[in-house]
Amino acid sequence: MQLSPANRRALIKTMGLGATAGMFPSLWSRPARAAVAPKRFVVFYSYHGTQTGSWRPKSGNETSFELNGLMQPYAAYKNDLILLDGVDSASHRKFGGIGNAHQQGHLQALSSTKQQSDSLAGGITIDQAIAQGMNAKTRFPSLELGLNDNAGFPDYHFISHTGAGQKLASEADPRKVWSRVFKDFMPQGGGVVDDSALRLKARQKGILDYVKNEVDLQAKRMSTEDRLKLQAHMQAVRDLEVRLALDDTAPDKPVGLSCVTPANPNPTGSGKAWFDRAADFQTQLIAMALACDLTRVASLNVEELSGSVCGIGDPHSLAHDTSPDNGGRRGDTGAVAQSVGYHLIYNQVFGKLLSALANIPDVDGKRVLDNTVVLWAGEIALGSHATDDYHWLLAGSAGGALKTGRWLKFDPKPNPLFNGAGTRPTHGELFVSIANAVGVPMTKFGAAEICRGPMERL
Amino acid sequence: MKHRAPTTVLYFRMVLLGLFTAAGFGCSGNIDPSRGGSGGRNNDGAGGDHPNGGGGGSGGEPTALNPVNELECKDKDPSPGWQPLLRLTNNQYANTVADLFAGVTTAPAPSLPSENRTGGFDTVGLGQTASLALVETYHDTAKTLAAQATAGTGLTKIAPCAAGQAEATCADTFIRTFGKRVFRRPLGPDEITRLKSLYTAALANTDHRGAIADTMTAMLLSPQFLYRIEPVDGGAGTVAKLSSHHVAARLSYLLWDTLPDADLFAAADRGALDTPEGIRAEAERLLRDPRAKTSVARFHSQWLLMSRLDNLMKDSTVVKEWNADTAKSMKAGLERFMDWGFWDGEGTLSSLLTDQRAFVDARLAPIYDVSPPASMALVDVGNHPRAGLLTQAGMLSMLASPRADSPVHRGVFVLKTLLCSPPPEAPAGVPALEEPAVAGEARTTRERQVETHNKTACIGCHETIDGIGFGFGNYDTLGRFQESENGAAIDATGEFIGTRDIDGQFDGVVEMATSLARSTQAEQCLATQWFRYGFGRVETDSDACALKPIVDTFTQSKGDMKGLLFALVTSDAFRYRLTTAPQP
Repeated sequence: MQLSPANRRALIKTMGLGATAGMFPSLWSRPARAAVAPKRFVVFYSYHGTQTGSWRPKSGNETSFELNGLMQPYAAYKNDLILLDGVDSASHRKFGGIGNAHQQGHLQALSSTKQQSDSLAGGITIDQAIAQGMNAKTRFPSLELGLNDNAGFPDYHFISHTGAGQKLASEADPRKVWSRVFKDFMPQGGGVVDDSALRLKARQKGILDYVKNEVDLQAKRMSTEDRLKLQAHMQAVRDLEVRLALDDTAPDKPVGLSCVTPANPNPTGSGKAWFDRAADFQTQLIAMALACDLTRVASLNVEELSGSVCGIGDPHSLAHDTSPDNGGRRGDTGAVAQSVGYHLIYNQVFGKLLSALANIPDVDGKRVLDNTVVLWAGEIALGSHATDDYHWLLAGSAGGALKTGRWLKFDPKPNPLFNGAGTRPTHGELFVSIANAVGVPMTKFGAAEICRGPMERL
Repeated sequence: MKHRAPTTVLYFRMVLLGLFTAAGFGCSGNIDPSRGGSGGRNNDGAGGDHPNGGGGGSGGEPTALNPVNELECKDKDPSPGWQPLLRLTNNQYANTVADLFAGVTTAPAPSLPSENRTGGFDTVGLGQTASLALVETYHDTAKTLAAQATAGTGLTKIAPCAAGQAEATCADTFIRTFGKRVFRRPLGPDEITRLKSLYTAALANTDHRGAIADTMTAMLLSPQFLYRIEPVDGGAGTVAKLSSHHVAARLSYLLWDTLPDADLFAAADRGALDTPEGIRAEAERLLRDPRAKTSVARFHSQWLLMSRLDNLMKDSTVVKEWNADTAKSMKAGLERFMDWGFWDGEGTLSSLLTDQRAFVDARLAPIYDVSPPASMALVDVGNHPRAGLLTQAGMLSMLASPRADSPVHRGVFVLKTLLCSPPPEAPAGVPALEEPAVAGEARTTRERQVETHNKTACIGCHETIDGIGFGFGNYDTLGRFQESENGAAIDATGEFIGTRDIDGQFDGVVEMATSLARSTQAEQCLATQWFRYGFGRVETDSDACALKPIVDTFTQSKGDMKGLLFALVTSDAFRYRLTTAPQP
């Protein structure tokens, strides 16, 4: 079946975004243009670690294993996965932390360096470092999305930092994400460039040139800390120029054949119903933003699930009490099953993300997922607050740069950077490998003393 | 005048250290009290979990209250402390653009990205980073407002132009008059020149109307608008007086969360805010306006982290009376109690802590065990022991677990929020207190907790936390009074340990509240919280002499809360600023 772009849009609108698997079947029938697809990086982020008993394959070896219960929602993508069983959260043990274990994790897991305070990281996070390293001049340097119930979109955790002390909030309302990313977007190559459009562009440029000059003049008169604040503002104004296509150095948009404007999200209901619907939209919006090359870096911060989503009054206490390393206190099967159920919700969202990325053909005819690396990270490893062996996941090979379909079980002993004897890799090393895989050269990330270079075996 | 650094810093730190040592904070293990009670998410904390998150004590985060009354700030020179750059908060931005265009046009409330909240307050500058998403929203809002405001006859309201007057002249007037409101002060000649250049350049591509719109958009995207930039004259390392206009802006953002109104601009124009008396007169006027009520309520909401009630969950298998509407009533009741305590009641901290009344509606009446009023009303709930803020159903419910009360959350609340003396964080790997069994639980919360804490090294910290928390034992997870729990009698005796002025034993919350109501430390703490909120910064050692007169006025007034605001706005810290940041 061959569809015109308008008909494809109509089709997608009719289908709604809720249908995940086989979401854009018609798109595959178009002959793929021989083109090089950009590489992308996506962070998926969840809370309270995992239940290793349902996460780790029950038997097997690096290349031959069966996925355990929690990974069933994306069993179809088993060959796209790399299970990272025991990444060392080196920064925690090297530098300790400020604030409680969750705060420490939120600020260190993705930055791999010493915290600035209990609510601010001490350095850039890997997603932002990759976005800066790519310097792709896409409309958005990166997109930060969140997911929660619809009780006010608190977004109180910020997982991304553009630098020490510089946080980025994530947007949990898919309607706002759509407005921001797709409302004025014309997938089929932009609007007509006529005289009035050029005039409008000149006026807009005049305004932002004025603003940049004012920021510069003010910043010059300020003390160091205050100046940093205005410099961050200046960067945001420059990013806005790119977004508005006022930056002459920005290349023309390479628009993929599969790029269409997704339907305007209309999640309804509340609690779990809202959450499920919002999860469909958020994952689809990320996938389409990547397919349209509106950005090459995105994150989905799936917050601590509220009671209305997971049906558990106090997920934090449950996670504690059922943590596999907690001596079995409340280790009764009912409580553990409840905790596995909590984590299964995250895994279902992860499954939605993978199928969204797999169901859109990329400009090179492969799946968008094939040209992407998805990292599943979180603040702690286990409900007990243990952080020394993260059970993280990668999905996608970044165009073949990573060998997928593997279960990497690492040395249980801490590595020599902490006077240990083992060889366990650190999160900073993992990030170096990811950055290299998506085409951002890097030899160290975060605190240099806990990063020996790219991660071995990856 | 030359800035004098406080000479008492060393002594100051020693006192601080003494405070911790006395409190027995050599703890190596305790229960994790890191989460809001009952699984409610703390959405004010922006990365700070609660109740004692944010008290870690480094990197500029709030620390234990500095015992400022031990200081001697003898020097007569003003000592304002260092004021870092602040951005308009999301709320201030929304209010300000609405007020700038009042009577001309309205735009939908801007949808700004979530903001960081250091120490719980949106006003605090630390962590206020501009992102693309933020600047996009500023840009979209400015463009929309400018287009709407200059459309049709709107142009004649916002940029009037008499018949026959040259458009360039009208543009000049517009830049000076509208610009003054946007920048909250008269524009400098260079600023006028740059905006006029923008206007003139725009004329190459549009007409006068469009050029005015562009100029307006540019103003609304200027750092002078989005940030609270307060240039002062003077050599490096000196103290300089803020201009009347900057004082006016501080006053209106503190008390109204928006830009100055015409009267306040007029007062600034005639220099009436150059003296403490002049500032006080305007502050009194601003406090009579309903906008001040909203601002004070914002402070209370952030100080007490009331948003926890928005997401509060109880275990419905145990607490069958619970539903989301109950939480709404609890929040409304708590908000109204705080409003009433500040504006209509005695207006003192001690009355907030001890009054036996509460705002009650049909949903709250069973919790307080009183007959339901027709609609929410102030009711004497002294039929059971009650102590103001401490026993409000909303507070007790927030500070509880889904099934039972939580001495830890309640104890940490008193230490951190009321005494500014947060206990240290729980170490990693310590389990939460086990929930009581759904059926067959035969112990009180206290008994369950003592069993846990006495076994381990936990006691080092929990002696202090639980000593206070156990005093709340008579109030269950909803804040209902209970004399027994699971058939066992409740022991609500407790003890303050390591406080500066109220150490000692008490029996139940009413006695506890009586101690808190006479505590200078509690008064200092509230004054310090207002300082953080009002100045948008967490105090450091260099703020000692800036904070002291504010705190002293509050304690000497026996905790008069309106008086505290007057002390804040007439203080040196409010009227002066250091020309350069002190070297660390």
